[in-house]
Order: sequence, then C-alpha cells, then structure tokens
Amino acid sequence: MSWIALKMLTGNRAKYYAIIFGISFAVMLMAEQSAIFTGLMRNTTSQIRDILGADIWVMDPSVQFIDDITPLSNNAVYRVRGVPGVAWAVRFYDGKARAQFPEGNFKQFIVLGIDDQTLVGAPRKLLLGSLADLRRPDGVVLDESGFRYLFPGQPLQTGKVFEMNDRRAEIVGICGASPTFQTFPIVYTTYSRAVRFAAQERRSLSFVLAKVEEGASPEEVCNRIEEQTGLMAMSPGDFAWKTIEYYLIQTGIPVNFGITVLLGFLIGAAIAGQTFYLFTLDNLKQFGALKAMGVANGRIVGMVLLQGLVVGVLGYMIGLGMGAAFMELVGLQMRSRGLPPANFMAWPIPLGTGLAAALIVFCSAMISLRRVLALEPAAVFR
Amino acid sequence: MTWIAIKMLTGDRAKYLGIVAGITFASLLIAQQASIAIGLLLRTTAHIQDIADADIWVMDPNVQFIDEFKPLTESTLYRVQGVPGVAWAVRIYKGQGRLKLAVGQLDKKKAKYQQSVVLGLDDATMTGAPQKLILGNLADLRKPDAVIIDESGYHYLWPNEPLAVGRELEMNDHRAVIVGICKASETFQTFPIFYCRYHQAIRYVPQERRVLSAILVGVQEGADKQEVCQRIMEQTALKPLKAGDPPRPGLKALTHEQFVESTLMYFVRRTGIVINFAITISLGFIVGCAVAGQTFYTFTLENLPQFGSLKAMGASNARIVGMVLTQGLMAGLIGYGLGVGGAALFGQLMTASSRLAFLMPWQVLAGTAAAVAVIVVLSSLVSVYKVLVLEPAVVFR
Repeated sequence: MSWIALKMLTGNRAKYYAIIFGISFAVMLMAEQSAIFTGLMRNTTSQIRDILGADIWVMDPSVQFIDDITPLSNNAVYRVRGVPGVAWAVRFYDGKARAQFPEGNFKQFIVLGIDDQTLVGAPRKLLLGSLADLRRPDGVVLDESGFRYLFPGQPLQTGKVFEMNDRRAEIVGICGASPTFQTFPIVYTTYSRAVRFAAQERRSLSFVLAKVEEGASPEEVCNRIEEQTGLMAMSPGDFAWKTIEYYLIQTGIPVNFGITVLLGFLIGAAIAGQTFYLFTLDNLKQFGALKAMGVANGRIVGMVLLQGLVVGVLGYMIGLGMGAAFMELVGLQMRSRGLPPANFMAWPIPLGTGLAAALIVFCSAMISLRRVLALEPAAVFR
Repeated sequence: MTWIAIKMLTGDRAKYLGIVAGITFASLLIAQQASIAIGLLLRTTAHIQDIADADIWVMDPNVQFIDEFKPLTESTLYRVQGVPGVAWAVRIYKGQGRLKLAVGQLDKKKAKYQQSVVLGLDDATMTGAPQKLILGNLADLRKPDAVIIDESGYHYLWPNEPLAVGRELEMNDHRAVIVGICKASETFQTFPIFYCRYHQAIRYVPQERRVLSAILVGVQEGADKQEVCQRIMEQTALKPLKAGDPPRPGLKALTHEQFVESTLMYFVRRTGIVINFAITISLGFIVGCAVAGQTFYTFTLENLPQFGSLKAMGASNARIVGMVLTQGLMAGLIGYGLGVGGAALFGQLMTASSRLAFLMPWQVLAGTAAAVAVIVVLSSLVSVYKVLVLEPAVVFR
C-alpha cells in the first residue's frame, strides 16, 4: 500500500517537485534568517568572548551593554584590587577613534587598550607579528578583517602606518578576532597608548578586568566588589547575556527577522499546502477506487501521511543544505571583502525548522485528507 | 458574460476570499514595508533639511554623509569667505556627546546617561538655528550654558512631563541649561538633539585637535550655486604631490540638494537597509503570487465544467480570457484597496502613537498597484491556459 502511495506521489512530477520546492524554500528561508539573527546577536558579544583570562568584568552601574560605556575614574582599579578574593585586577579601555590614512581617507576604528604590563585581554590568535611587539613605540595590532577592509587585495603585512588623533600608529601584528556587530576594524594596543588615540573626556577607564583567587567563588567576589566599591561586577557570561538582552529588547532586530521567518513559513505553507491539496484533488479518483476496493479510512490516512512525510523530509534536507551552503558562500564573500559575517547555526535552528516543516506537512495533509475521507467511493464510477 | 464571470467568482465564497486575502496580504506588506523604508531613508537627511538657510555646505573631500564629518582647521572658514560669489560663510559643529541627567547624584544606579546629537551654531549669526520654537526664545541661546532641545528628545528624556524650560543636565562635565524647546525633523538615530552656540558645543563633546565640522555658505544674489561650489573647490585645492599631476582636492562644496542626495546614496549603498526591505517586499510579492495564483488556479480548475459548457455554447476563446481577466481584475482591485488601506491605517496609527518612520508618497501606491497587476495577470495566465486547451465536449462525457 505504501508503495502505491509513493508511486502516486512521484507519478505527477510537476506537483511532486512543487511541493518539495515549497517546503525547501520555507526551510531555507527560516534556517538562514534565524542563523543570521543568531549570528548578529552573537557578534554583539564578540569583544567579551575574545578576552580570555578574566573571571569578572567591573563597570559603572549605569552600563547596559558592552558599547554603552560610562568611564570610571582611574582609581577604580585600585579599589577593586583591595577587595578580598580578587587575585589581580587590570585596566581595560574600549573606545572608538578615527584613523587617518596617508591618502587622506579616514575610518572609524574600535580601539581596545590592554594593560601595559601584563597584556591581559590581548588577542588570542596572532597571524603575523608577536605580542611583545606591542611594546614597541606606536605599536598596534590590527584584526584580519580590518586589514582586508582597509587594504583590499594586499597580502597581510606589518609595517603600515596611520594616524589616530594626531598620533602615529604602526601595525606590528595582525590578529584573528571574532566578527563584530559594528563592522569597524579593531586595533589592540596598550592602555596608555589607547587613551591617547581616542578623544578624551575627564575619565577614560572603561572596564576593570579581575581574576578571582583560587578557591573563591566568582559570584561571591562579584557581590563583595559591588558592596565595597559601588561599581557593578559580573562574569563574562552574564555580561554577554546582558548585552544580548539589550539588543533583543531595545532594538527592532528581533522583530525584523521574526517577520521574515514568519513570511518564509507562510510561503512554505501556502505553496506546499495548496499544491498538496491540488495533488490530492487530482488523485481523488484513485483514492475513490481504493476505497471502493475496501481500503479502510485509517489506511488512506496512512498513505497521505506517508506522502507528506516523504516530501517533508526531502524538502527539509534540501532546504537546510541550501541554507547552510548559501551562508557559507556569503560568509566567504564577506570575509574576502573584510566585512565580518554574521551567521551562526546553533543546534536549535535545524530542530526548529524541522518542527516548522513538520507542521507545514501535517497541515497540508490534513486539508487534503478532509476531501479524501468525505469521498463517496461510488462517486468514481459515475 | 461579465456578469456570469463575477457570479462564478463570488459563488465559491471560500476561494473568492482566499484570492482576495492573498492579494490583500501582498499589497499590505509591499506598501507598508516600502513606506517604512522611504520614511527611514528620508530621516537620514533630517539635519540637512532642518538647516535650510545654507545654500552650500563645505566639508572635507572624504566626507560622504552628514553623520561622519572629518574636522577642518579653523582657518578654512576664512579661505571660504574669500571666494568670489560667497555672500557669507559661517561655522557649524555637529557631534555626538553623552549627556548625564542629574537624577540622584549620590546614587549612581539612578544616574541616566544618553547619547545625544550636539549642533553648534555660529555664535554671532545663529545660522542654522531651529525654525520653529515651541517654548523659549532664540536670543536666550546667548545666556551662559544655554541649549535648545528638540521636542521628541525632551519627551524621551522626561517622559510624561509637561514641556518646561530651566532643566539642567551635564555633558562632558559641563553644565547645560534648557532655555528653549524646538520642533526638529525626526532623525534616523532618534537621539535627542541639542542646539547651542559653536564655542559652547565643542566643550560638550570630547575633542580632537580640530573641531570644525563644516561651513555653511550663502551665495551672493544672482550668483549660480553650482558655479560658486566649483570656485570654492578650485580655490582651496592643494598643490599636487608630484609636479604635473592635477591639484588635489582640498575641500568639497556641495549645494543643499547635492548634500541631501549624497547622504541618501551613502545609506542606500553602504547599509543593508534597502536590501533588508527589498527582501521583505519580494517575499510579500511571492506570498501574494503563491496564495492568489494557486487559489485562482484551483478555482478555475473546479469551474472547468462551467467554462466547458460556455465553450460548447459557442463562447469564443477571447471571451473566456476576458472573463478570467475580469475575475482576476475584480479580486485584484478589492485586495489592493484593502491592502493599501490597511497599510495607510497602520501608518496613521503608528505615527500618532510612536516615532516610527512612515511615509507613503504616491509612488508607493503606484508601485504596489503594478505589483498587484503582475500578480493578477500571472495567476490569470496560469488558469487561462487550462481553460483554453479544454475540449468543450469533455464536459458532456
């Protein structure tokens, strides 16, 4: 019986393809849009994730997310060091500066200033140069996509010179950095140099990075820092989630992607559902004949569901594969142009789109079944 | 015959509604998204539109749009003033600062920080000042620490409070007193806007060595704006690096309209706004085609016997095509009306209650109509094919 159902399905090529197309289009759109959305949200926290070694970030209590910085006074780092349970604490600067190139063009940069002595917060992966070169006068480390954006078509190299806030900066290293949300190039340099590269207010200290003593619990130390200094302290994970929450609640990004995902679902449901319905309509005669031969309604339901399952699984796999391939291609394209790609297919995405595809198939099958079940077997012989 | 077509269409309620719903959905989505995109894009030029006094904007040659100025040296002003055809030239500063509201000075958790746009107007002439003051007086800007804030910025900072002058806030450790409230065009970034004197503005934002954002120029009566722009660029050009090369550009002079266009084009080309909306619009179009087209096709399929009888009775093919098109046209018109009306209603409601960008010029209506027409024609064509190849005799079997 199952074999007849499959034969029936593949017999009408055009409709068979149309149903699969509808489902795969929906799956592709949903998977791709959700992955871009997840990637964008993940990119907002890339600066937090890229800094290893610190257990606690200390900041002004009014900070809402990583790019919303209220500078602290310079003595905050000493106050944090004095809290019991803190093994060490260092300065960290995060700001923006305008870089000026010899040709006259200019570009906004993200400037990260890491502690002069310990270089805590330094980039993890250096593609060119060494971290020790940061101690050379005017030395900065530029991220790879920034280099590709600024000097398209040129091989990675050190030694290029530009100007920030009237100060000379020389690229002494190229590092790999996670793609950022704002797409600006990132330069790493020492704290004391970074504050000269950016236009200054009275205060310049963005964050204090702290390490917990062995054996102490990070939450407890955070609480102690907050009590003792009046600053806000949290773990990198909590800070990343705080940042993501800010973007989720305060920006229109989720709504925007939500609309497109929903549209993808609707298109899939409309195309697949209607074509499936038409297909069943065309095959009413066959179903009627089967019923007349004594096939039970349960059996017929099974046949229609099997047909739905086959097109659903095929469409789902094709769609998911196409979505992933499309994102890989776009990602490569963007990387070569020095733009940070935003895509991250977390495991809930394939699962969610799978459920959505199942829902589409199930609904289409239900609509079609209604016609088949209500059918009078005798009708086909008239 | 037309009457039969309409009777046929409205006879099958479910399908009729399905077709109309598909087209309504498509035109609603297309019109609404296009209007939001246009509204958003036009907001990017709000500051230029508001500074209507200036005929010409002079800036660094690498500046592409209003939100990213590269500062000029102060002496640039005098060089521009010396160009023939320039009636007057004044400084303007535009920058972004962070303001601090003095709520709970002692309790830091209650301190409120907010990014804001600071516009510095020429101290002597106040060129570029807000056109419509709701409260206060332009002359009050000469008071110490005086700033004028725009109305929506005021409501954002102090929600549900009546408009009043005299409030104080802090920018870059400097005091600012609100002496007036003005109407300003809604901007893309929706930050509060502060107008103040040039020399005060540059203290409100942390500065690099150079601060002058741009120069506003008025041309002499009778002079051609375009020509004056050319002359400014020629006269301020730099010597080439190598002998024999053409001179390097020193400044860029754009007329008001050119600067608006340049800013718009920057956002169109360099940001994903247009692509983003285009995707949603084309998805709306596809949904419309899919739903309306397929429902229409099913509908025609079910009415094949009727069309067959008509053909058997001698109705010509052209007549049948006309009937199908009439059905499509009717569903299309109703769906279009409902969709565009819905989009306009949405826009009215949203702009009344929030700061959503929404602008529906007639081009949006025309474009949506064209898209609906394409949907209708496509769906009709698919259906008509089945009818045309139909053997009239089939229905009598």
